[in-house]
Amino acid sequence: MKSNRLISLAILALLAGLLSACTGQAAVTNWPGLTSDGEFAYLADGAQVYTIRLSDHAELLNAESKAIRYPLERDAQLAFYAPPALLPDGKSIIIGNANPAKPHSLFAADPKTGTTLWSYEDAGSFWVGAPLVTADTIYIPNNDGSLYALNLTGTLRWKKINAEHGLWAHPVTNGTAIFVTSLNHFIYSIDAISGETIWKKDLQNALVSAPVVAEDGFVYTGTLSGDLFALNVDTGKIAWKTTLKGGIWSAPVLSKDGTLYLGTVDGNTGTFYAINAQTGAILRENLEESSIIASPLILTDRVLYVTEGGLIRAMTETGITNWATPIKGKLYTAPLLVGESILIAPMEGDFYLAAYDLNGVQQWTFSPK
Amino acid sequence: MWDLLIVNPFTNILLLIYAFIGNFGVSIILFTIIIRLATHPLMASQIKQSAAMQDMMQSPEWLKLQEKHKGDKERLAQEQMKMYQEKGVNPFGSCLPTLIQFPIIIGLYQSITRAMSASPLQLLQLARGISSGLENITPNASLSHLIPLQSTFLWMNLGQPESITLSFLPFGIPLLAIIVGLTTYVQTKLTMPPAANPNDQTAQMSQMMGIYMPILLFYFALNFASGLAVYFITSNLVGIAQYALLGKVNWNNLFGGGPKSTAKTNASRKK
Repeated sequence: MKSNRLISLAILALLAGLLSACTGQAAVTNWPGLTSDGEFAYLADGAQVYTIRLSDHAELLNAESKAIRYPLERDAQLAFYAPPALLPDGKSIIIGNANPAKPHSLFAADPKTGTTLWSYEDAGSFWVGAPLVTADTIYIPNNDGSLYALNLTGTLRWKKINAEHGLWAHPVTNGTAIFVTSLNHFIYSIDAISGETIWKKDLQNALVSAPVVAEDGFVYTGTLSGDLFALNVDTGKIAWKTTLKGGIWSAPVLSKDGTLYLGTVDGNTGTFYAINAQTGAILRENLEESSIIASPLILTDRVLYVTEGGLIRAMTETGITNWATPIKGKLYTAPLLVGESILIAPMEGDFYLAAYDLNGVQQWTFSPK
Repeated sequence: MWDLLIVNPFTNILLLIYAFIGNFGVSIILFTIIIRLATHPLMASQIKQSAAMQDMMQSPEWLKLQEKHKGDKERLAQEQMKMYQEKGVNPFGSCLPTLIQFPIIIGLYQSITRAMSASPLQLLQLARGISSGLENITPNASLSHLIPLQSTFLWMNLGQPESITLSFLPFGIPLLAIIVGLTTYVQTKLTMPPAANPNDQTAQMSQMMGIYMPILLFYFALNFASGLAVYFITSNLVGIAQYALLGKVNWNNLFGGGPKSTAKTNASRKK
């Protein structure tokens, strides 16, 4: 009788595991999120956030020589993928649980000790996008279709928008308004203090990438169908629209000379574009064999982007390849410039994080022990 | 390969139904019914083979064979195989249809999950998997119509775990999860075949499954997107209907105080 019970339990455990894997929900998957404060890199890659000291590309260790991560112990209910946001104290990070299963927690944590400072538990759904942190407020989009504004100790100031579908992209601000996109096809301009909607615009297709707001008075954003828009920050009026080949999955980046850089996903291929931000005219395009999902990185005299297939390409401002380095793994995470190093976080690669110099030479790699 | 052969075609069928219906909850229900009906011949064959096997194992010849060769396992196996051939029973006849059905059910489950993408990576997989041919069938199957899916169904958001909040209660009632638990319990009970001997291992395991399975699915429905709970409920109800159609629903298990052993029944008949 006892053995039968054990067999039954084993079958059910197997079934539970199978269903979890099938749903992809108990263990939701996404690409890693990366942030740095200049001294440390914070890598959200599933169950834990890794704190990697850049000087020796090693994790901090506790008294028992165990790596300090957040949370200290893995919790099957928690998954972290958005780039952790740094609080104004420069020491704490904000990160939300991306697992669709409850709890829908948002944590403020000390990544150097692996401890939770506070948590906010009243969200309607899970967290996909990274928060925007200002001097006194945390603005964070939620899959329940709302933008949450919390003070720096985790008390809710307001919850607004209540869109029919999730807000997945990182919000941006011009100081007075918060701009956030929605799967619901809308881009919203929200008053940073009151949370009231200043304007909203239906762009006819889902928006999963963050907008970019510029000093020229425009906010730029792209849809999954490949339409890139420039909208007036005050009114939401469309200044221009340019249709690109493939869908737009990441935020465009604006250079000082007024050029927008972004990549697209066209099936399994992609194109890297340079666009005139004033007119929307395509200045240059570079077809890649693999999709471009991550936002590019603007360096002093060149622009760098990564492809899903694992290629890192640096191009001059005139569109000539400066260098290109393939790596093993998929690149979805935006590269990050820290000092003279470019940080790259692949998915399914040989390492979790690597640093390259500005000429594309690998400096070091990090993999958790 | 799995994606190419199973998940992508299933997802596209599900999305096509959605493009016509415009309601993802109804699409899940229809899609589950279609798949269950398509696999009905396999299920019927499995039940038939299972019943034939059970009948044979309760026959006096079989029992006599067990008694005669109980000390010689090799000989017993040879004699059993001979009897399978004589009676025309395939010992794997009840397993094979189940094995074929299993990937289909898992594929169905995965396609529903994929359609309700919960991360940018899953949404990317969904967007890539949508066939360009769908839009030729109906303009409602364009990317802008399919992403995001209209996930509101009745009082639920199918992408979220469901619970009903009542003003006088400080907590929500997970109505859908309760229905999942109940329908799973009822389905397990109704479709459990009468055991030859209630003390044998198979009967005991079936009874335990009848307890653990509803708890497991209740847990899943409680914590995961309610779209999956809609699938569980539909699948359970269609399963019961399929058994009823084949005359194999065992009402005694539900109302008669537990499964009746066919051995007992046979014995009482003899009296």
